[in-house]
Amino acid sequence: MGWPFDERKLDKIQRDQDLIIELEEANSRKLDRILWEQKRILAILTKSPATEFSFLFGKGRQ
Amino acid sequence: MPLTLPQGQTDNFYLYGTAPFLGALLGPGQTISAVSADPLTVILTPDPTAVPVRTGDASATVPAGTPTVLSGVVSSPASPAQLNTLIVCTATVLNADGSTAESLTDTVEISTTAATAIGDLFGSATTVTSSTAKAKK
Repeated sequence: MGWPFDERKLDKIQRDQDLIIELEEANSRKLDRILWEQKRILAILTKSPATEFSFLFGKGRQ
Repeated sequence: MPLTLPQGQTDNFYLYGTAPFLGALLGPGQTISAVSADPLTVILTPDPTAVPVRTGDASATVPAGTPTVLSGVVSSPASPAQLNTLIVCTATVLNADGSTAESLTDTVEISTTAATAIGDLFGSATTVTSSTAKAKK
């Protein structure tokens, strides 16, 4: 390279960037969870009935 | 998700709300029923009171304890009319005024060929004790 640079500093920057991405993803998941929980509580408080349903079969029994 | 039920066996079934949140219940005055298109092949017997999803039937998307609006047992008569045939089961939610709020279907097949048990791929393990370990040398 044409100028002096510190390999360790470069590694540190890379690690910091990875950490920032990790934290952003974790925060996003937390926010999604909070929004879902708020929606659920709101639906309960307003006594919103189910608008969509699904079938579920068990995993077998004799 | 369709059910393939080995002949002579029974299974649980559940109907649960998925919106506005998992486990949402019926609205005031609403009723739900589930019927088999061919009761001579597939029988749906509802529980007197809907039970939450049991641990053994739970999955990552529908965890144990999820409230249901209808639950019961799916079975077949001793001599099912149609074997290895998809039988449509329909669940219908009625509003208090009798109008249909929601209708959904799934299928059940009474199978004569579905496995009812899975064998071991590997032989049974032999406990290695000091004496057997020596013998193996």
